[in-house]
Amino acid sequence: MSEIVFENVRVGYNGIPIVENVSFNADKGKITALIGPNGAGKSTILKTAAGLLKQIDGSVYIRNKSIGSYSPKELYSILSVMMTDRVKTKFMTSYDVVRVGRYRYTGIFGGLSETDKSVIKECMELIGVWDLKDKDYSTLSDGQKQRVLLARSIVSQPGILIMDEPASFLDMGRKIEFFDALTKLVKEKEIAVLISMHEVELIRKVADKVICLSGSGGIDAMGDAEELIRPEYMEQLFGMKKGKYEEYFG
Amino acid sequence: MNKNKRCIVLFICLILMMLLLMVINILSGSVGIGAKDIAGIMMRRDVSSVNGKILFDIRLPRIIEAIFLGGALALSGYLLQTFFLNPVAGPYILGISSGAKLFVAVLMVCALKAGFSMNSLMLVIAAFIGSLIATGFVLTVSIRVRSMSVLIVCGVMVGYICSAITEFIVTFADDTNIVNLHNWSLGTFSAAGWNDACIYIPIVVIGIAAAVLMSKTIEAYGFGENYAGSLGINIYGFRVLLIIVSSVLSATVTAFAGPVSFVGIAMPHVARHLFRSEKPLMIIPASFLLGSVFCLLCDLLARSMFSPTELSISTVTAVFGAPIVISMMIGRRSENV
Repeated sequence: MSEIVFENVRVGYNGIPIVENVSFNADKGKITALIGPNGAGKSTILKTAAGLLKQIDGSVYIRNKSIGSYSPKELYSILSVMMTDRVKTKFMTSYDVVRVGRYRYTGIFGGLSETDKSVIKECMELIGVWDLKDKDYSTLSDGQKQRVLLARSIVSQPGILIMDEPASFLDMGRKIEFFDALTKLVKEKEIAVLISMHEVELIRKVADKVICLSGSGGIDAMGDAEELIRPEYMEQLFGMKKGKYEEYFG
Repeated sequence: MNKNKRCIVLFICLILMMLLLMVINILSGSVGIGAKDIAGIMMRRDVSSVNGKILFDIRLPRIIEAIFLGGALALSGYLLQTFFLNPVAGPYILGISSGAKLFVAVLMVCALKAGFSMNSLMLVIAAFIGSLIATGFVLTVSIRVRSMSVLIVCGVMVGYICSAITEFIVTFADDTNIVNLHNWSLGTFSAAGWNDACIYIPIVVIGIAAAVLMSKTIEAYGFGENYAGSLGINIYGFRVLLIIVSSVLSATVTAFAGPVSFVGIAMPHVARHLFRSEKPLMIIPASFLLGSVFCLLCDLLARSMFSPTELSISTVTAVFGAPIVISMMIGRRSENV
Protein backbone atom coordinates (compact mmCIF):
# COMPACT_ATOMS: atom_id res chain seq x y z
CA MET A 1 0.00 0.00 0.00
CA SER A 2 1.36 3.39 -0.96
CA GLU A 3 1.37 5.82 1.92
CA ILE A 4 2.60 8.81 -0.06
CA VAL A 5 1.81 9.37 -3.74
CA PHE A 6 3.06 12.28 -5.84
CA GLU A 7 1.41 12.75 -9.26
CA ASN A 8 2.97 15.23 -11.65
CA VAL A 9 3.73 17.60 -8.84
CA ARG A 10 5.55 20.87 -9.29
CA VAL A 11 7.20 21.98 -6.05
CA GLY A 12 8.78 25.30 -5.15
CA TYR A 13 8.55 28.43 -3.07
CA ASN A 14 6.27 31.42 -3.71
CA GLY A 15 5.08 30.04 -7.03
CA ILE A 16 8.62 29.63 -8.39
CA PRO A 17 9.12 25.95 -9.27
CA ILE A 18 12.27 24.15 -8.16
CA VAL A 19 11.42 20.64 -9.29
CA GLU A 20 8.83 19.75 -11.93
CA ASN A 21 7.01 16.61 -12.88
CA VAL A 22 7.56 14.81 -9.63
CA SER A 23 5.79 11.45 -9.58
CA PHE A 24 6.63 8.67 -7.16
CA ASN A 25 5.20 6.70 -4.30
CA ALA A 26 6.51 5.66 -0.91
CA ASP A 27 5.27 2.39 0.54
CA LYS A 28 4.52 1.01 3.93
CA GLY A 29 7.42 -0.68 5.68
CA LYS A 30 9.85 0.60 3.05
CA ILE A 31 12.53 3.25 3.01
CA THR A 32 12.38 5.51 -0.01
CA ALA A 33 15.47 7.65 -0.42
CA LEU A 34 15.94 10.89 -2.33
CA ILE A 35 19.45 11.51 -3.56
CA GLY A 36 20.96 14.15 -5.76
CA PRO A 37 23.31 17.12 -5.73
CA ASN A 38 22.85 20.05 -3.37
CA GLY A 39 20.08 22.35 -4.49
CA ALA A 40 18.32 19.68 -6.56
CA GLY A 41 15.17 20.16 -4.46
CA LYS A 42 15.28 17.24 -2.05
CA SER A 43 14.24 19.34 0.95
CA THR A 44 11.56 21.09 -1.07
CA ILE A 45 9.98 17.77 -2.02
CA LEU A 46 10.16 16.58 1.59
CA LYS A 47 8.54 19.75 2.88
CA THR A 48 5.76 19.37 0.34
CA ALA A 49 5.21 15.75 1.35
CA ALA A 50 5.14 16.84 4.99
CA GLY A 51 2.46 19.45 4.34
CA LEU A 52 4.80 22.25 5.39
CA LEU A 53 4.86 23.66 1.87
CA LYS A 54 2.01 23.73 -0.63
CA GLN A 55 2.70 22.25 -4.06
CA ILE A 56 2.40 24.65 -6.99
CA ASP A 57 0.36 22.12 -8.92
CA GLY A 58 -0.19 18.41 -9.30
CA SER A 59 -1.55 16.09 -6.62
CA VAL A 60 -0.07 14.80 -3.42
CA TYR A 61 -1.90 11.95 -1.71
CA ILE A 62 -1.34 10.73 1.82
CA ARG A 63 -3.08 7.39 2.35
CA ASN A 64 -5.11 7.89 -0.84
CA LYS A 65 -6.48 11.20 0.34
CA SER A 66 -5.37 14.55 -1.06
CA ILE A 67 -2.97 16.21 1.36
CA GLY A 68 -4.91 19.48 1.15
CA SER A 69 -8.04 17.85 2.54
CA TYR A 70 -6.38 16.95 5.85
CA SER A 71 -6.61 19.21 8.85
CA PRO A 72 -3.19 19.73 10.46
CA LYS A 73 -4.36 17.59 13.37
CA GLU A 74 -5.36 14.67 11.17
CA LEU A 75 -2.30 14.91 8.97
CA TYR A 76 0.20 14.96 11.81
CA SER A 77 -1.44 12.10 13.56
CA ILE A 78 -0.25 9.85 10.74
CA LEU A 79 2.81 11.73 9.60
CA SER A 80 5.90 12.72 11.52
CA VAL A 81 8.74 14.94 10.44
CA MET A 82 12.43 15.14 11.25
CA MET A 83 13.87 18.21 9.55
CA THR A 84 17.36 19.66 9.68
CA ASP A 85 16.62 22.33 12.32
CA ARG A 86 19.15 21.90 15.09
CA VAL A 87 17.58 21.80 18.52
CA LYS A 88 18.92 24.52 20.78
CA THR A 89 18.00 23.69 24.32
CA LYS A 90 19.93 24.21 27.45
CA PHE A 91 18.23 22.64 30.39
CA MET A 92 16.29 19.76 28.89
CA THR A 93 16.96 16.09 29.38
CA SER A 94 16.71 13.72 26.42
CA TYR A 95 13.48 12.48 27.93
CA ASP A 96 12.07 16.02 27.90
CA VAL A 97 12.95 16.37 24.24
CA VAL A 98 11.32 13.06 23.28
CA ARG A 99 8.29 13.80 25.48
CA VAL A 100 7.40 16.85 23.35
CA GLY A 101 6.80 14.48 20.42
CA ARG A 102 3.71 13.23 22.27
CA TYR A 103 2.23 16.74 22.01
CA ARG A 104 -0.99 15.59 20.41
CA TYR A 105 -1.80 13.11 23.17
CA THR A 106 -0.73 14.94 26.32
CA GLY A 107 -3.00 16.95 28.61
CA ILE A 108 -3.66 20.67 28.44
CA PHE A 109 -0.49 21.42 30.41
CA GLY A 110 1.50 18.65 28.74
CA GLY A 111 1.01 16.09 31.51
CA LEU A 112 1.85 12.49 30.59
CA SER A 113 -0.56 9.61 31.02
CA GLU A 114 0.60 6.04 31.70
CA THR A 115 0.15 5.24 28.00
CA ASP A 116 2.30 8.23 27.05
CA LYS A 117 5.02 7.09 29.41
CA SER A 118 5.03 3.53 28.16
CA VAL A 119 5.08 4.61 24.50
CA ILE A 120 8.00 6.96 25.17
CA LYS A 121 9.88 4.22 26.98
CA GLU A 122 9.22 1.71 24.23
CA CYS A 123 10.34 4.07 21.48
CA MET A 124 13.46 5.14 23.32
CA GLU A 125 14.38 1.53 23.96
CA LEU A 126 13.78 0.61 20.34
CA ILE A 127 16.17 3.34 19.17
CA GLY A 128 18.61 2.53 21.97
CA VAL A 129 18.53 5.86 23.77
CA TRP A 130 16.67 4.86 26.93
CA ASP A 131 19.89 4.93 28.95
CA LEU A 132 20.37 8.57 27.91
CA LYS A 133 16.99 9.63 29.26
CA ASP A 134 18.26 11.64 32.22
CA LYS A 135 21.22 13.13 30.37
CA ASP A 136 21.11 16.80 29.49
CA TYR A 137 20.34 16.91 25.76
CA SER A 138 22.82 19.71 25.06
CA THR A 139 25.69 17.59 26.42
CA LEU A 140 25.06 14.62 24.10
CA SER A 141 27.23 13.84 21.10
CA ASP A 142 25.82 14.57 17.65
CA GLY A 143 25.12 10.90 17.02
CA GLN A 144 23.23 10.54 20.29
CA LYS A 145 21.31 13.74 19.59
CA GLN A 146 20.15 12.50 16.19
CA ARG A 147 18.97 9.22 17.66
CA VAL A 148 17.09 11.07 20.41
CA LEU A 149 15.41 13.16 17.71
CA LEU A 150 14.57 9.96 15.83
CA ALA A 151 12.90 8.68 18.99
CA ARG A 152 11.04 11.98 19.33
CA SER A 153 9.70 11.68 15.80
CA ILE A 154 8.20 8.24 16.40
CA VAL A 155 6.57 8.68 19.82
CA SER A 156 3.51 10.08 18.04
CA GLN A 157 3.24 6.57 16.52
CA PRO A 158 3.17 7.77 12.93
CA GLY A 159 2.56 5.64 9.86
CA ILE A 160 4.81 7.90 7.78
CA LEU A 161 8.16 9.39 8.67
CA ILE A 162 9.77 12.14 6.62
CA MET A 163 13.44 12.91 7.27
CA ASP A 164 15.79 15.46 5.77
CA GLU A 165 19.44 14.36 5.76
CA PRO A 166 19.31 13.03 9.30
CA ALA A 167 22.84 11.61 9.27
CA SER A 168 24.73 14.12 7.18
CA PHE A 169 26.96 15.57 9.87
CA LEU A 170 27.65 12.31 11.70
CA ASP A 171 30.88 10.36 11.45
CA MET A 172 30.88 6.96 9.73
CA GLY A 173 30.35 4.97 12.92
CA ARG A 174 27.48 7.16 14.08
CA LYS A 175 25.93 7.11 10.60
CA ILE A 176 25.82 3.34 10.73
CA GLU A 177 24.40 3.37 14.27
CA PHE A 178 21.73 5.78 13.10
CA PHE A 179 20.73 3.80 10.03
CA ASP A 180 20.75 0.57 12.05
CA ALA A 181 18.24 2.12 14.40
CA LEU A 182 16.17 3.38 11.48
CA THR A 183 16.03 0.09 9.56
CA LYS A 184 15.17 -1.80 12.73
CA LEU A 185 12.41 0.67 13.41
CA VAL A 186 10.95 0.41 9.92
CA LYS A 187 10.91 -3.37 10.10
CA GLU A 188 9.29 -3.43 13.51
CA LYS A 189 6.73 -0.65 13.07
CA GLU A 190 6.04 -1.00 9.33
CA ILE A 191 6.47 2.73 8.82
CA ALA A 192 6.80 4.30 5.38
CA VAL A 193 9.96 6.40 5.40
CA LEU A 194 10.76 9.13 2.91
CA ILE A 195 14.30 10.29 3.48
CA SER A 196 16.88 12.45 1.76
CA MET A 197 20.47 11.40 2.22
CA HIS A 198 23.96 11.95 0.90
CA GLU A 199 25.40 8.61 1.98
CA VAL A 200 25.48 7.03 -1.46
CA GLU A 201 27.81 4.32 -0.21
CA LEU A 202 25.27 3.21 2.42
CA ILE A 203 22.18 3.51 0.34
CA ARG A 204 22.12 -0.08 -0.86
CA LYS A 205 21.87 -1.28 2.71
CA VAL A 206 19.41 1.38 3.83
CA ALA A 207 16.97 2.15 1.08
CA ASP A 208 14.47 -0.11 -0.64
CA LYS A 209 13.95 2.38 -3.38
CA VAL A 210 15.97 5.31 -4.65
CA ILE A 211 14.76 8.46 -6.37
CA CYS A 212 17.54 10.35 -8.13
CA LEU A 213 17.10 14.07 -8.63
CA SER A 214 19.22 15.76 -11.22
CA GLY A 215 20.55 19.27 -10.75
CA SER A 216 18.30 20.50 -13.55
CA GLY A 217 15.00 20.36 -11.69
CA GLY A 218 13.52 16.93 -12.25
CA ILE A 219 13.61 13.26 -11.37
CA ASP A 220 16.36 11.63 -13.35
CA ALA A 221 15.86 8.00 -12.44
CA MET A 222 14.01 5.89 -9.92
CA GLY A 223 14.19 2.31 -8.81
CA ASP A 224 16.12 -0.35 -7.00
CA ALA A 225 19.26 0.82 -5.22
CA GLU A 226 21.30 -2.15 -6.49
CA GLU A 227 20.63 -1.19 -10.08
CA LEU A 228 20.97 2.55 -9.79
CA ILE A 229 24.02 3.01 -7.64
CA ARG A 230 26.58 2.37 -10.34
CA PRO A 231 29.80 4.31 -10.80
CA GLU A 232 29.04 5.73 -14.24
CA TYR A 233 25.59 6.86 -13.24
CA MET A 234 26.71 8.41 -9.94
CA GLU A 235 29.45 10.29 -11.79
CA GLN A 236 26.87 11.66 -14.17
CA LEU A 237 24.29 12.52 -11.47
CA PHE A 238 26.69 14.32 -9.17
CA GLY A 239 28.74 15.87 -11.96
CA MET A 240 31.99 14.05 -11.24
CA LYS A 241 34.88 13.44 -13.61
CA LYS A 242 34.94 9.99 -15.16
CA GLY A 243 36.50 7.36 -12.95
CA LYS A 244 36.36 9.49 -9.81
CA TYR A 245 33.59 7.46 -8.18
CA GLU A 246 35.51 4.26 -8.56
CA GLU A 247 38.66 5.99 -7.38
CA TYR A 248 37.10 7.09 -4.12
CA PHE A 249 34.38 4.54 -3.37
CA GLY A 250 35.36 1.50 -5.38
CA MET B 1 13.12 13.77 42.21
CA ASN B 2 16.15 15.71 43.37
CA LYS B 3 15.50 18.31 40.71
CA ASN B 4 11.91 18.79 41.80
CA LYS B 5 12.98 19.25 45.40
CA ARG B 6 15.45 21.88 44.34
CA CYS B 7 12.74 23.76 42.48
CA ILE B 8 10.37 23.67 45.43
CA VAL B 9 13.11 25.00 47.71
CA LEU B 10 13.83 27.76 45.20
CA PHE B 11 10.17 28.74 44.99
CA ILE B 12 9.92 28.87 48.78
CA CYS B 13 13.08 31.00 48.92
CA LEU B 14 11.68 33.42 46.35
CA ILE B 15 8.42 33.78 48.23
CA LEU B 16 10.26 34.33 51.52
CA MET B 17 12.45 36.95 49.87
CA MET B 18 9.36 38.65 48.55
CA LEU B 19 7.77 38.74 52.00
CA LEU B 20 10.98 40.00 53.57
CA LEU B 21 11.33 42.78 50.99
CA MET B 22 7.68 43.71 51.50
CA VAL B 23 8.31 44.16 55.22
CA ILE B 24 11.49 46.17 54.65
CA ASN B 25 9.72 48.32 52.08
CA ILE B 26 6.89 49.03 54.51
CA LEU B 27 9.30 49.93 57.27
CA SER B 28 11.58 52.18 55.28
CA GLY B 29 10.90 55.65 54.00
CA SER B 30 11.65 59.29 54.58
CA VAL B 31 9.24 59.35 57.50
CA GLY B 32 10.37 56.89 60.14
CA ILE B 33 7.50 54.81 61.46
CA GLY B 34 8.34 52.10 63.98
CA ALA B 35 7.43 48.49 63.40
CA LYS B 36 5.11 48.55 66.41
CA ASP B 37 3.24 51.58 65.10
CA ILE B 38 2.88 49.95 61.73
CA ALA B 39 1.54 46.77 63.25
CA GLY B 40 -0.92 48.87 65.22
CA ILE B 41 -2.05 50.81 62.19
CA MET B 42 -2.47 47.60 60.21
CA MET B 43 -4.48 45.96 62.99
CA ARG B 44 -6.77 48.96 63.45
CA ARG B 45 -6.97 49.61 59.68
CA ASP B 46 -6.36 53.19 60.68
CA VAL B 47 -6.46 55.15 57.43
CA SER B 48 -7.14 58.59 58.87
CA SER B 49 -3.96 59.36 60.80
CA VAL B 50 -0.91 60.80 59.03
CA ASN B 51 1.05 57.61 59.48
CA GLY B 52 -1.92 55.60 58.33
CA LYS B 53 -2.12 57.69 55.17
CA ILE B 54 1.58 57.20 54.49
CA LEU B 55 1.16 53.49 54.93
CA PHE B 56 -2.06 52.87 53.04
CA ASP B 57 -1.84 55.54 50.37
CA ILE B 58 1.86 55.60 49.63
CA ARG B 59 3.85 52.59 50.77
CA LEU B 60 1.42 49.71 50.30
CA PRO B 61 0.21 50.67 46.81
CA ARG B 62 3.81 51.05 45.79
CA ILE B 63 4.69 47.58 47.03
CA ILE B 64 1.70 46.04 45.29
CA GLU B 65 2.64 47.85 42.11
CA ALA B 66 6.24 46.65 42.20
CA ILE B 67 5.09 43.07 42.77
CA PHE B 68 2.49 42.92 40.00
CA LEU B 69 4.11 45.14 37.42
CA GLY B 70 7.61 43.78 38.00
CA GLY B 71 6.31 40.27 37.54
CA ALA B 72 4.28 41.27 34.48
CA LEU B 73 7.34 42.76 32.89
CA ALA B 74 9.39 39.60 33.38
CA LEU B 75 6.56 37.52 31.95
CA SER B 76 6.19 39.84 28.98
CA GLY B 77 9.90 39.43 28.31
CA TYR B 78 9.61 35.65 28.52
CA LEU B 79 6.82 35.60 25.93
CA LEU B 80 8.82 37.83 23.59
CA GLN B 81 11.81 35.55 23.96
CA THR B 82 9.60 32.63 23.06
CA PHE B 83 8.33 34.51 20.03
CA PHE B 84 11.80 35.32 18.70
CA LEU B 85 13.20 31.92 19.75
CA ASN B 86 15.97 33.94 21.30
CA PRO B 87 16.69 34.69 24.95
CA VAL B 88 18.09 38.12 24.16
CA ALA B 89 14.75 39.92 23.77
CA GLY B 90 12.65 42.10 26.00
CA PRO B 91 10.03 44.82 25.79
CA TYR B 92 12.44 47.61 26.75
CA ILE B 93 15.38 46.67 24.58
CA LEU B 94 13.17 46.15 21.51
CA GLY B 95 11.69 49.64 21.89
CA ILE B 96 8.21 48.35 22.71
CA SER B 97 8.05 50.03 26.14
CA SER B 98 9.16 53.30 24.58
CA GLY B 99 6.46 53.10 21.93
CA ALA B 100 3.93 52.63 24.68
CA LYS B 101 5.44 55.50 26.62
CA LEU B 102 5.16 57.84 23.65
CA PHE B 103 1.47 57.10 23.14
CA VAL B 104 0.67 57.52 26.81
CA ALA B 105 2.54 60.83 26.93
CA VAL B 106 0.68 62.12 23.87
CA LEU B 107 -2.65 61.10 25.38
CA MET B 108 -1.81 62.70 28.73
CA VAL B 109 -0.74 65.98 27.19
CA CYS B 110 -3.74 66.09 24.88
CA ALA B 111 -6.03 65.39 27.81
CA LEU B 112 -4.44 68.17 29.84
CA LYS B 113 -4.70 70.63 26.95
CA ALA B 114 -8.26 69.77 26.10
CA GLY B 115 -9.21 69.63 29.74
CA PHE B 116 -10.92 66.26 29.71
CA SER B 117 -10.11 63.83 32.44
CA MET B 118 -8.95 60.38 31.54
CA ASN B 119 -8.98 57.18 33.47
CA SER B 120 -6.30 54.59 33.82
CA LEU B 121 -7.99 52.19 31.40
CA MET B 122 -7.55 54.75 28.63
CA LEU B 123 -3.88 54.96 29.51
CA VAL B 124 -3.56 51.19 29.20
CA ILE B 125 -5.27 51.22 25.83
CA ALA B 126 -3.03 54.03 24.57
CA ALA B 127 0.03 52.15 25.82
CA PHE B 128 -1.21 48.96 24.14
CA ILE B 129 -1.63 50.72 20.79
CA GLY B 130 1.81 52.28 21.14
CA SER B 131 3.45 48.99 21.96
CA LEU B 132 1.69 47.22 19.07
CA ILE B 133 2.97 49.86 16.63
CA ALA B 134 6.51 49.54 17.97
CA THR B 135 6.21 45.75 17.84
CA GLY B 136 4.91 45.97 14.30
CA PHE B 137 7.97 47.94 13.29
CA VAL B 138 10.34 45.49 14.96
CA LEU B 139 8.54 42.57 13.28
CA THR B 140 8.79 44.20 9.86
CA VAL B 141 12.52 44.51 10.42
CA SER B 142 12.73 40.92 11.64
CA ILE B 143 11.18 39.64 8.42
CA ARG B 144 13.81 41.48 6.37
CA VAL B 145 16.84 40.65 8.47
CA ARG B 146 17.20 37.35 10.24
CA SER B 147 19.85 38.60 12.64
CA MET B 148 18.86 39.11 16.24
CA SER B 149 21.63 41.64 16.86
CA VAL B 150 20.39 43.87 14.05
CA LEU B 151 16.91 43.55 15.50
CA ILE B 152 18.09 44.66 18.92
CA VAL B 153 19.97 47.64 17.50
CA CYS B 154 16.77 48.59 15.64
CA GLY B 155 14.78 48.22 18.84
CA VAL B 156 17.19 50.41 20.78
CA MET B 157 16.99 53.04 18.02
CA VAL B 158 13.18 52.95 18.05
CA GLY B 159 13.45 53.39 21.81
CA TYR B 160 15.65 56.46 21.39
CA ILE B 161 13.34 58.03 18.82
CA CYS B 162 10.24 57.47 20.94
CA SER B 163 12.00 58.72 24.08
CA ALA B 164 13.20 61.82 22.24
CA ILE B 165 9.71 62.66 21.06
CA THR B 166 8.28 61.98 24.53
CA GLU B 167 10.93 64.18 26.08
CA PHE B 168 10.10 66.92 23.60
CA ILE B 169 6.40 66.74 24.35
CA VAL B 170 6.94 66.67 28.09
CA THR B 171 9.37 69.59 28.02
CA PHE B 172 7.16 71.88 26.01
CA ALA B 173 3.85 71.04 27.59
CA ASP B 174 4.54 73.47 30.41
CA ASP B 175 1.73 72.67 32.70
CA THR B 176 2.25 72.25 36.41
CA ASN B 177 0.51 68.91 36.15
CA ILE B 178 3.25 67.72 33.90
CA VAL B 179 5.73 67.36 36.78
CA ASN B 180 4.31 63.92 37.47
CA LEU B 181 4.54 63.09 33.81
CA HIS B 182 8.25 63.77 33.87
CA ASN B 183 8.83 61.35 36.75
CA TRP B 184 6.65 58.77 35.11
CA SER B 185 8.43 59.03 31.76
CA LEU B 186 11.66 57.94 33.49
CA GLY B 187 10.00 55.03 35.25
CA THR B 188 8.72 54.95 38.82
CA PHE B 189 6.49 52.80 41.00
CA SER B 190 5.25 55.83 42.96
CA ALA B 191 2.51 57.03 40.66
CA ALA B 192 -0.27 54.49 40.94
CA GLY B 193 -2.86 54.30 43.68
CA TRP B 194 -5.52 51.78 44.66
CA ASN B 195 -7.83 52.74 41.81
CA ASP B 196 -5.11 51.92 39.34
CA ALA B 197 -4.46 48.65 41.13
CA CYS B 198 -8.06 47.66 40.40
CA ILE B 199 -7.20 47.94 36.71
CA TYR B 200 -3.75 46.43 36.50
CA ILE B 201 -4.17 43.50 38.90
CA PRO B 202 -6.94 41.85 36.82
CA ILE B 203 -5.03 42.46 33.59
CA VAL B 204 -1.86 40.93 35.01
CA VAL B 205 -3.75 37.95 36.44
CA ILE B 206 -5.37 37.33 33.05
CA GLY B 207 -1.94 37.62 31.42
CA ILE B 208 -0.51 34.98 33.75
CA ALA B 209 -3.47 32.69 33.13
CA ALA B 210 -3.06 33.07 29.37
CA ALA B 211 0.66 32.31 29.57
CA VAL B 212 0.04 29.23 31.70
CA LEU B 213 -2.60 27.97 29.26
CA MET B 214 -0.13 28.45 26.41
CA SER B 215 2.69 26.68 28.25
CA LYS B 216 2.44 23.37 26.39
CA THR B 217 2.58 25.09 23.01
CA ILE B 218 5.38 27.40 24.19
CA GLU B 219 7.48 24.34 24.94
CA ALA B 220 6.85 22.76 21.53
CA TYR B 221 7.39 26.07 19.73
CA GLY B 222 10.80 26.27 21.39
CA PHE B 223 11.96 23.53 19.00
CA GLY B 224 11.43 25.78 16.00
CA GLU B 225 8.58 26.82 13.76
CA ASN B 226 8.88 23.91 11.34
CA TYR B 227 8.77 21.36 14.10
CA ALA B 228 5.89 23.06 15.89
CA GLY B 229 4.03 23.18 12.57
CA SER B 230 4.60 19.45 12.14
CA LEU B 231 2.90 18.83 15.48
CA GLY B 232 -0.23 20.41 14.05
CA ILE B 233 0.15 23.71 15.91
CA ASN B 234 -1.37 26.75 14.20
CA ILE B 235 1.86 28.75 14.08
CA TYR B 236 0.36 31.98 12.85
CA GLY B 237 -2.37 32.07 15.46
CA PHE B 238 0.04 31.15 18.22
CA ARG B 239 2.47 33.89 17.26
CA VAL B 240 -0.29 36.50 17.19
CA LEU B 241 -1.43 35.36 20.62
CA LEU B 242 2.11 35.59 22.00
CA ILE B 243 2.51 39.15 20.77
CA ILE B 244 -0.87 40.25 22.07
CA VAL B 245 -0.41 38.83 25.57
CA SER B 246 3.15 40.12 25.77
CA SER B 247 2.12 43.58 24.55
CA VAL B 248 -0.82 43.83 26.92
CA LEU B 249 1.47 43.02 29.84
CA SER B 250 4.25 45.43 28.91
CA ALA B 251 1.74 48.14 27.96
CA THR B 252 0.07 47.84 31.36
CA VAL B 253 3.41 48.23 33.08
CA THR B 254 4.30 51.26 30.97
CA ALA B 255 0.92 52.90 31.51
CA PHE B 256 1.35 52.86 35.30
CA ALA B 257 5.06 52.77 35.99
CA GLY B 258 6.60 54.15 32.82
CA PRO B 259 9.34 52.28 31.02
CA VAL B 260 11.28 49.99 33.34
CA SER B 261 14.46 48.65 31.82
CA PHE B 262 16.08 45.21 31.80
CA VAL B 263 13.55 43.33 33.94
CA GLY B 264 11.88 41.70 30.93
CA ILE B 265 15.10 40.61 29.29
CA ALA B 266 17.12 39.56 32.33
CA MET B 267 14.68 37.86 34.71
CA PRO B 268 13.58 34.94 32.48
CA HIS B 269 17.26 34.27 31.87
CA VAL B 270 17.98 34.25 35.60
CA ALA B 271 14.96 32.00 36.10
CA ARG B 272 16.19 29.44 33.56
CA HIS B 273 19.63 29.31 35.12
CA LEU B 274 18.44 29.29 38.70
CA PHE B 275 15.90 26.51 38.13
CA ARG B 276 18.07 24.79 35.50
CA SER B 277 14.94 24.19 33.51
CA GLU B 278 13.19 25.33 30.38
CA LYS B 279 9.78 23.94 31.27
CA PRO B 280 7.36 26.82 30.70
CA LEU B 281 5.20 25.69 33.62
CA MET B 282 8.24 26.24 35.82
CA ILE B 283 9.71 29.31 34.17
CA ILE B 284 6.47 31.32 33.92
CA PRO B 285 5.89 31.52 37.70
CA ALA B 286 9.63 31.68 38.37
CA SER B 287 10.13 34.64 36.04
CA PHE B 288 7.13 36.38 37.54
CA LEU B 289 8.34 35.94 41.11
CA LEU B 290 11.88 36.97 40.19
CA GLY B 291 10.52 40.07 38.46
CA SER B 292 8.54 40.95 41.58
CA VAL B 293 11.44 40.39 43.95
CA PHE B 294 13.85 42.25 41.69
CA CYS B 295 11.54 45.25 41.36
CA LEU B 296 10.85 45.35 45.11
CA LEU B 297 14.59 45.37 45.74
CA CYS B 298 15.34 47.98 43.09
CA ASP B 299 12.50 50.18 44.25
CA LEU B 300 13.81 49.98 47.81
CA LEU B 301 17.25 51.04 46.61
CA ALA B 302 15.83 53.78 44.39
CA ARG B 303 13.98 55.25 47.38
CA SER B 304 16.52 54.81 50.11
CA MET B 305 20.01 55.17 48.64
CA PHE B 306 19.93 58.94 48.28
CA SER B 307 16.85 59.62 50.38
CA PRO B 308 15.00 61.96 50.28
CA THR B 309 16.00 62.25 46.61
CA GLU B 310 14.49 59.40 44.64
CA LEU B 311 16.19 57.70 41.72
CA SER B 312 14.14 56.56 38.75
CA ILE B 313 13.54 52.81 38.90
CA SER B 314 15.20 52.23 35.53
CA THR B 315 18.45 53.68 36.82
CA VAL B 316 18.62 50.97 39.44
CA THR B 317 17.30 48.09 37.33
CA ALA B 318 19.86 48.95 34.63
CA VAL B 319 22.76 48.77 37.08
CA PHE B 320 21.88 45.15 37.88
CA GLY B 321 20.16 44.14 34.67
CA ALA B 322 22.64 45.32 32.07
CA PRO B 323 25.55 43.18 33.35
CA ILE B 324 23.26 40.14 33.29
CA VAL B 325 22.40 40.82 29.66
CA ILE B 326 26.06 41.34 28.75
CA SER B 327 27.06 38.05 30.38
CA MET B 328 24.17 36.39 28.58
CA MET B 329 25.36 37.60 25.17
CA ILE B 330 28.95 36.56 25.86
CA GLY B 331 27.69 33.13 26.97
CA ARG B 332 25.69 32.69 23.78
CA ARG B 333 28.56 33.82 21.59
CA SER B 334 30.91 31.23 23.00
CA GLU B 335 28.29 28.53 22.62
CA ASN B 336 27.53 29.31 19.00
CA VAL B 337 31.13 29.01 17.88
